[in-house]
Amino acid sequence: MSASNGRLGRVVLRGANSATEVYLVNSVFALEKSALRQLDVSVEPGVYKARFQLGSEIQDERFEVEPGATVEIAGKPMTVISAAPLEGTRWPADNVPSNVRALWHAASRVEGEGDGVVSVLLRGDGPIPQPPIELIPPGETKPRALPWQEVAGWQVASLRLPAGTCVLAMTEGGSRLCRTLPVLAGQQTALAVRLSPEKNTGDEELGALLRSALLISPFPIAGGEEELLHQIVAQQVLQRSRALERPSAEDEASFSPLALLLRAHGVLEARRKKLSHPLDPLQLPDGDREQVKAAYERLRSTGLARSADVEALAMAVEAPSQPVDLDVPPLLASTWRTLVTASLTGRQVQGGLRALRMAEGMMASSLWLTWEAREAASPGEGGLSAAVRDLLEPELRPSSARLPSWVESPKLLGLARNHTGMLARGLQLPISLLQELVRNLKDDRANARRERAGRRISALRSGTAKVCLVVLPDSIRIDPGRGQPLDLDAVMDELVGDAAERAGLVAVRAPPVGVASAEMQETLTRANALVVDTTFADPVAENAAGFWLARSGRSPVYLRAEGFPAGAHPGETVFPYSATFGTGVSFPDAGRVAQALEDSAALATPSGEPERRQWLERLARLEEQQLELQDLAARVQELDMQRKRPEAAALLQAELPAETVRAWPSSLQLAAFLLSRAIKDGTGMERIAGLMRPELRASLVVREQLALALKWSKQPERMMEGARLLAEVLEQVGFNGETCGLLGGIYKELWRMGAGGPEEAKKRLERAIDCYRRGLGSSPQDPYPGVNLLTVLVADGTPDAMAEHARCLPQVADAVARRLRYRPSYWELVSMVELAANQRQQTVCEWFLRRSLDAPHDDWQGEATANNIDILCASSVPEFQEAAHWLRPIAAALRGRT
Amino acid sequence: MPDTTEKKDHFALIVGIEDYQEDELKGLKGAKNDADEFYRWVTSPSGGAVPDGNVRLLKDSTIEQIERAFLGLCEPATTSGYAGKRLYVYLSGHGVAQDVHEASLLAADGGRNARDRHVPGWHWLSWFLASGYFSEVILFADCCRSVRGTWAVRRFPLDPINRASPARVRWVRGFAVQFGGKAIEEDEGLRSRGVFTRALLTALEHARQPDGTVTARSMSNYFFNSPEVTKWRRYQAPSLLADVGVDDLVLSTGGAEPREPVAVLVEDGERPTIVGGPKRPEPWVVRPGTRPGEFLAELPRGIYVAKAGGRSKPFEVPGGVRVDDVRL
Repeated sequence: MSASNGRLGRVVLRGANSATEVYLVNSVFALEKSALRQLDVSVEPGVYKARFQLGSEIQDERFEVEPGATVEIAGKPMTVISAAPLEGTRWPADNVPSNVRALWHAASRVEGEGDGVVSVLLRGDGPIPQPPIELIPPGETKPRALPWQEVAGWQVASLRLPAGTCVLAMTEGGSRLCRTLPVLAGQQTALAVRLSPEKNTGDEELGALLRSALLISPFPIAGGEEELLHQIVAQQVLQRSRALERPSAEDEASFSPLALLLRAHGVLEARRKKLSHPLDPLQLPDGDREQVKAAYERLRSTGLARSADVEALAMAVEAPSQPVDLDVPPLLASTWRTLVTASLTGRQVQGGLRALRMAEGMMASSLWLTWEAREAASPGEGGLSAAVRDLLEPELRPSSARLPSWVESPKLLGLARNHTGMLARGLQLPISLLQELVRNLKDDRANARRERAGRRISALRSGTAKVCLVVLPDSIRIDPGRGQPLDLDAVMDELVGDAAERAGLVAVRAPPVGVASAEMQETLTRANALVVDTTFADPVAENAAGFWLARSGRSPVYLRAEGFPAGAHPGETVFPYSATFGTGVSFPDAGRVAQALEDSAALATPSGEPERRQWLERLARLEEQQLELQDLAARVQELDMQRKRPEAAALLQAELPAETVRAWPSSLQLAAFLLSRAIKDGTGMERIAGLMRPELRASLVVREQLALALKWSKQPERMMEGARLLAEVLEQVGFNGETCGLLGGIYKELWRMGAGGPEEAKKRLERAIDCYRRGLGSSPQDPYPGVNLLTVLVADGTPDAMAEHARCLPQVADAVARRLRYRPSYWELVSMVELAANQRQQTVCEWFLRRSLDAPHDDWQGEATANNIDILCASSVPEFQEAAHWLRPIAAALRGRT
Repeated sequence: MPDTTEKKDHFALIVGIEDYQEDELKGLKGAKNDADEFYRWVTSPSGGAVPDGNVRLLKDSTIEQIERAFLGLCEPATTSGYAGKRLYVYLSGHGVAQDVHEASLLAADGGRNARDRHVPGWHWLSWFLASGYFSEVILFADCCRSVRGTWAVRRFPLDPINRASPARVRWVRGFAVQFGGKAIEEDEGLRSRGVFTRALLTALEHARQPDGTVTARSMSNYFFNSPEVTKWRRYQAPSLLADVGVDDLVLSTGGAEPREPVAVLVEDGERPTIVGGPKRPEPWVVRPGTRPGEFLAELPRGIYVAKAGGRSKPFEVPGGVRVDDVRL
């Protein structure tokens, strides 16, 4: 202890080597100061603790500082756990090679030509007769065999290679894990791998790669040098997503390029781990920015220059950088994260199919970038396409009108194309790779549907196929428990289709017409088994079941979605299926359903052979025509996505001439009609409806959708024709939220247009109120009529109307809130905007507005809500007049003007 | 005066899973104990002071049950955009990590054959950061973080909300291990406990500042110095992070700064002096003990030096851990 000036004391802490981190902790355990290797600081007198840390090893020493005194403490040498056999390291403690220098010397003895040497040192618990490691040299695609030799219990192999990046692949148990190794001119790169002592954990090879130690040193490498220890400690510190403590300027100047690179990435990772999302932009404090920038400048003159790992540093600090090509993968996982973030802000990060294949198998890590090499034929067919679908799921849901599920495929591609930023963030891919993925994106579900159709066509053409007819209700139905649509196409494809295949049957959807039609009667007569979904009390399904029972004397196989009330089939076995939102559809026991179908088909009596063959051929042709229509749908939707709706409508008209459509069976006519609906082509819908078979044209779905098409015409007389169609539907099936909502919409539009003068307009407003009121009364869980009822009541503005408005608000709020619980789509969110507008809650309204605008939606959807808000602004009710000043900007935002 | 009033706008969701459906995941013994212990702390007036009705304790639950519980937390916000001031989420059981930010608890019906059935703690808590449903979110996960880069992170059952709330959400995130590490449980007589949860609860109880509060920063300091954490450092180094802004985030206000008994044994029986710990001008009070040369003191957490007869001995009072006799 020696004296120093004044009342303060002085503390000098010295680590045993330059890789030791030193900490000074005060008497209440607060960290006073930290440094690398040495710390020299003036402190208040008191009691302190010195901590010396080397990797995961810690050494503490407590001491008192008297006024004016100096305390000097030297840390004792520590060993650090590492895969690399160096003096001063151990793995495990009792297994350090007796002669480390001999081992490293053996690694360096290598013949041949090349700029640098790569050595792999491998050790396991027992003998490793055939080390499962290969190297792919820089610029090559084929792996090269390694000349293994055993030294001091280690397997050692070295190659002399041209400078660049080589890929190391470790194969075991069918998986092939890869990582990169830099090859530097005049340097030896050594990778020490310790095969995992943990067995049966499923990640032995991955664990070995992640825990491996990389060393780079001037050739030939020598063991025990402090700089190599430094590199190992820097790796262990970065593995914990932090940087080595800041060295002195003198020490930093002596850092090897690898240690410098690791430390600079540690600075980035330490910042990144505090972000709520690992890809958020890094906002570095000035000190950190300067350190990273200085490291970049130094690394530009080393053998690592121009590598992705170095250029990523420049991008992180927004300094000028060279373009990065990810087809040459980086060394560090931190680099990948930095590059993804940089690409989101427009920095040049390139990559093609090779990089995308690597990204598909990438293992996230805090240190080394590792990936599983896959045999997939082309990118986009594997897990990434499923992940894209998952990220876009709410927007892929069918709309309120029933659309065939194959219409969804182009929508998936379009959404993916329009949301590359969101997807890049969600999948942690740089923008360029995301664009490559979208270009190669395959819709797995669409492919599966096509494959199923292909199998059905083959089976039907065999002439001996047994047919299972499936009667599923049309139109999208809402799960009352969660307010989400039930995907009945998925029930058909993924449940019934598979169960029928297991039973040796071909599942065919029943025509979308009643039993009075000849088409339906023939199908029911020739089918070998019948499946009827009883989830909803659908008259078409019930009549089909009755017809079947009367004709064959056999009971259909009944299905029902779990959670829905039991259908009216007492005594019959009803097979439930789970349709939990977000997890798809499934049978609890698919085997029992297949058995029931098989039993039912076994009792069937085959009808006349030649006619049956012709019928099977017609079914096969129908499947083919549906596939052709799917191809047309893809082209039409592509144009629609490019905002070329008139061109899309023209294409439909050209490809679907009247004589073709008129000759089609009803299911194709309906599909064509709904395809026009999907692109809001009202004229096309009217045209196809005019060509339809009368029994299809009389179906509920066609009449409802045709009424909507007539409303879009904006011609009062044709709109009234639509209203008459809907009135007939209501007369037939009774009041329901959907039909009442459509009818209310027509009257509301007529009132807004003011057609027929003020008196007539007033009557139409009253009709609109009445329709929405009846819709809400019959479907209290459906927010659509409820939200509209609130709007038109405000438009009316009389005391009675406002009293009703107040009474309805809680009910509508409840219906809307139910829809928000499970990944809401645009409609659910914008319903909250309308509800909050009706409640005149500005904050809530604006809050949901932002969420709505974030959700993908079409222009007309925003326009529809904006129109309702305009109605509120124009109301005579004083409270709404007062709210108009904040409601108008919301309507403008929905129209995209702000 | 400690504030022990109930925090009516604080909520907690606690999940402990031991009974896994997949055979290879059976064998955990401490996860439910740990969940119970955390429940006791979070509802204790001197701990989290969360009203019992605001806490959901789930044991051996499936992913659907856990999702429902999370959605239940969101319900109050569906109309107002705000669900409460603070949300605690505690997870214990088997886990994996898909990336450096993640600790995903496997649900009782999850595992290698049902990879989608997991709760990605940070991903789901991030949903709350973005939504602003709570002003403060606190996550503790006592589970392994074995690297599983190919397991898709299960999405939160509600759609993302992109920074809809202007309010800044403060957060604390405590993981049992660093990315890629394995969490350990240890037998304690008749029961088992997770090493991390034991250290966590000790910290929540003992990392008190002189004003009696436990804060995110005092927790962080506690972990840095904890002998329990240091003991396991080669196998399990916990990760505690916080983004609490300029003001520290107070986790508990309900207790006085605890004092630990310390015995100093002086060879020649001279009364020792003890200095250090929280700063004060005079030495700490010592009183004679019953053993020869023994002197006793009650000391708050800190680093001290005992002195007598020209000799001195530094020692630590880490808090919540018995202090060995100090011999002079």
